[in-house]
Amino acid sequence: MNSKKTLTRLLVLLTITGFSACYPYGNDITYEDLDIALTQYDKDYYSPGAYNYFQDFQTFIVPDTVIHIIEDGVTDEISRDYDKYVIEQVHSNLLKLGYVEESDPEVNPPDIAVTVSVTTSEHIVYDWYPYWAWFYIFIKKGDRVSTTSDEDNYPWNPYYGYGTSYTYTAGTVILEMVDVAKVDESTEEIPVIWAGVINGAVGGPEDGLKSRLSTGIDRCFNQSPYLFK
Amino acid sequence: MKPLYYLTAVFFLVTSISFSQGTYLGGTYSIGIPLGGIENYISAGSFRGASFEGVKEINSKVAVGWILGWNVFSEKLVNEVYTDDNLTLTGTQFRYLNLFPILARGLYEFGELDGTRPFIGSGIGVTADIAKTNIGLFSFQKTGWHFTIAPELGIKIPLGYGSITGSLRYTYGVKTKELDNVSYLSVNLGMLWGE
Repeated sequence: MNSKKTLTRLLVLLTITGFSACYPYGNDITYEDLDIALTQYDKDYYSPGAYNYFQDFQTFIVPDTVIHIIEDGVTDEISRDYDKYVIEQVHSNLLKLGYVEESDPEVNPPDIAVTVSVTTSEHIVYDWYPYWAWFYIFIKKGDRVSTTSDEDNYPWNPYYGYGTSYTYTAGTVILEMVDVAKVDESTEEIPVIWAGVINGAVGGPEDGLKSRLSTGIDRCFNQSPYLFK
Repeated sequence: MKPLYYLTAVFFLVTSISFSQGTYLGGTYSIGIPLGGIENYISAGSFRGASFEGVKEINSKVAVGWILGWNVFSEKLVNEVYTDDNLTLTGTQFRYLNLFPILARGLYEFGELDGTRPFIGSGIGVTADIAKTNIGLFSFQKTGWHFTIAPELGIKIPLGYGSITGSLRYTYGVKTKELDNVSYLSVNLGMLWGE
């Protein structure tokens, strides 16, 4: 009978241990794995198989300032180290798409303007692993014995499980394409006809961050084939 | 949740008539091979699975029992493109499917009582389904209960105080409002202890 009990306990222990990592990949996720590129177009400008008014646009500008989106009254702590690099990437993608940069926009308004904004947010994640407690309860209920003494808890401690927490900063780059001819200065309405969002966790080596920004911006344009001329 | 109540009742009924003569209690390690329903979501096989089971032999040929199982399917899809209307999203997806079958089980056993016993049978019950997709820093989860049938064939080989058991089980859970149907083949190998 004792051997049966021991074997059953061993089976339970092995199973719980095996499934304590029931979400594989947890330890080998890279920063790149957490990056996404999201795009959305205005359906008045493009409908697959019906019309594509993006093709009517020829010239563009990219304002030379990256807008940092922060809450009112909060100091802007977002680094400007990558602003120039991001603008260059957007600029080169628009040229690759076949658009022509307008060199004198004050005299000749461009067809489209692509603005770049950046925002960050802090996140705290709490994890809790109570499975040792489950094990304890299972065994004790099976024996019809209930005790919380240290001796009886051994070796199933820690009785209450354990928790971890970590903090990460999420960074978001927002690209917005504006139909310049439709800007209404009286109502201050700016028609955004296409938007691209690059989102991911901030961190890792500097070269890696540049590469991730570049990849994200490329993806936004590459996954929007209706913009190609 | 209604199916869970029925299954809990069946579980306790089966448990209450068990654990006398000709009863076995044990567990198996389970390898899962995704089939229709699952393979649209996760195509990779799973080496993460286990089940606990109890069996009572009613006579020399027929046995009833229960199974509490857990199979975890997962897959990493690099730079998967998802399109919905005018929105396109590219990112690496981590997909996880946790399935917990809770089954009442009937078996027909061949061979001598104290010898090697091949068996065929079927389980009926529910499967709890937790389908989770992580993409970027975002996570989406759907949960549901599938009404489930699970035909199987296997073998029980006496060894010391118990038996080694192996089985091949096809688990099919019907579609729910939120989730597609699930079906998978599992190869199960483990031990049963009893008298």
